[in-house]
This record gives sequence, structure tokens and C-alpha cells, in this order.
Amino acid sequence: MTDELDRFRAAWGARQLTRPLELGQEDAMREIVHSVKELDRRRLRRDLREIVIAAVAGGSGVGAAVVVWRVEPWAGVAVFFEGALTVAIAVWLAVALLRRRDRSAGASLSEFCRDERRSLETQIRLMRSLPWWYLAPILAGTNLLVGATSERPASVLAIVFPITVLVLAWAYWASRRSLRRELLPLRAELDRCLAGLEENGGA
Amino acid sequence: MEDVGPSLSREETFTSLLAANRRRLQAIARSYARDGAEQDLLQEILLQLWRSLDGFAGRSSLDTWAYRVALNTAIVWRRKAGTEPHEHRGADGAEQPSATSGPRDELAILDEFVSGLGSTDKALFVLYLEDLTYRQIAEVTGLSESHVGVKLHRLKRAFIERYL
Repeated sequence: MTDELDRFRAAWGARQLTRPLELGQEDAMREIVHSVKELDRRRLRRDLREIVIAAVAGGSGVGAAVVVWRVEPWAGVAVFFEGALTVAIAVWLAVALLRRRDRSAGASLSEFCRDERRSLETQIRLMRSLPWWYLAPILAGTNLLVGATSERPASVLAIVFPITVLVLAWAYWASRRSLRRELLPLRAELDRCLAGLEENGGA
Repeated sequence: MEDVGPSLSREETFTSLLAANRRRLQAIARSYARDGAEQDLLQEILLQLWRSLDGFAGRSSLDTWAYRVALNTAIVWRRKAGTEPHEHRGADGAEQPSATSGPRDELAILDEFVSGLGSTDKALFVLYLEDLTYRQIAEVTGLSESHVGVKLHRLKRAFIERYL
């Protein structure tokens, strides 16, 4: 059987490399390393930017709580919790992101699929419960802040409340879309991968 | 390329890893990416190798570790990028040959067969085509050596039945 496949394996082995790997010279290697390092820096900057945005959003909530506290202490507490929650999430994301960079990257296929599946399940649960732990506090906090600091809260809230609902509804729709398009197909792929491994008794 | 001496810097290790394995890394990228996305996936694999290099614990050879990183990256990347090909699978998961296809070269046939395989079978078959031993394939996938043999036997038989 192997003999019949030999010419195919030979053809596979003789296949030409494409750029930039076809260049074996030292300069070309240096160029590849440079581009990889540059990409790494760009990704790190992007990750940090997202973390900073989340932290600033939460930090603003904490700052707003101080303002509101002077007018309505109970509203100040609510806004404070919203801000603190966002900061906690930002820190948690930062830690998870940094730990994830190296975790299980070099694990065997079966270990990787199992780890990735577990991590994905957590992400899916978080995404599905987004309205409760992220959107609802923002809705409450924003409206409490506006209501507590405005001279005519009823008329201002009549405008601000529907706007925040619309914005958060859009955020919810975007999260569901991301769940449907990215996380669920990836979970299905990992399930198939694990099924393929279990079929062989390895996972 | 087996073990890397402690005196080598991260950049030197990466460069020598790349020089020794560029063929195989490209083969993995080509097998999992579609429609011109091969270079994007290859870049992602190289990035992941670079980022994870410090975490290499030396429990396997550096080459084996690199194939693991490459395959793991490819499996997750494919779905993220939404490049899953439209598949026509047979009972064993292998793609059916096109009825209208005429004489083709070996590479076109192999590409067609590999593109129709699921993630696990694809990994096994590509590593086999890349001349890794059953033992090495077992280390990369986490399967036992005997199960690698059984599965590859089935894949080879499926290939021969369809194309030879």
C-alpha cells in the first residue's frame, strides 16, 4: 500500500516553497523574524488598547460615582459598583489574555483541543450572560448618573434612557452575532476534532 | 534539529527552527488554509511559535513542539477566519472525487483529498506525507502509536480506493 503512495509522497515532498520561505538566505530569515516581531508588537498594542478602553470605561464609572454620591448616595453606590465591575472585568481579561498567550500552545493536539474547548465554553457562557453582568449595570449606571445630576431628571431621562437602550441593544446584537459566527462554529470544530481523536482512543 | 543549546538566543532558536522546518510549516498552513489565505495562516503560525518559544519546556523535541503549535494554531484559525471549505464527504469523512475531473497531477489529487478531511485526519495525513514517523505523529497528536497506525491505514486505503 505504501508503495502505491510513494509517488504521491515524492510529489508532495518536491513541492516548491512559496515566498517568503523559499528564501533561505540569512537576510531573508532576518526579514521574516523582523516581520514576526513587528506583528507581535502590533497585536500586543491592540490587546493593550482594548484593555485600556475597558479599564477607562470602568474608571469613569468610579469617577462618576463620586459625583453622584454628593447628590444621591444610593445612586452613587450603584454607579460605583458598575465602574468597579468593569475595572474587575478589564483586569481579569488582561490576566487571562497574558496567561493564554503561552498556555497550551505547544500541547499535543488532544490536550490542546480539550483545553481550548473548556476555555471556549467559559467564553460562550460569558457571552450569553452579557446582558446581566455587563449591559444591565451600564444601563442602570448611566441613567442613575444622568438622573441624579440633572435638574430635571424626568425630561432628561426620557431622552437618555431610550438612547442607552438602543446602544446597548446594538451591543447585545453584536455579541450574539460574534457568538453565532465565531464561538459556536469553533466549538463545533473542536468537538469534531475531539471526536476524531476519541475514535482513535487517544483523547 | 533536536535540542537547542542554552546559549542560543530566542531569535537564533526561532531562526534555526524556521530553517529546519519551513517546508513542514508551510505544508500545514497550505493544508488548513483556503483561497489564498495560506500566507496569513503561515504568518499566524510563525507568530504563535515566536510568542510561545519561551514556554518550550523541552519535554519533546523542538521540532515536535513546533508541529504541535502549528497544528493547534491552524485548527483554531481556520474557523475564526471563516474559511471552512464546502465539503463533500463520504462515509468515512473523506471528500468524494469530482465526477467531471480529468487526468490530474499528484499534487492536485492530494490537495483534493486533504482538503476534504476533518481536522484530526488532516493532521495525521499531512504529517504522514511530511515523512514523520508514527512515533513522531503520536507525539504531536497525543494519540498512541498503534492508533496512529490504524488511522493512517484507513486513510491510505480510502485514498487508494478513490484515486488509484
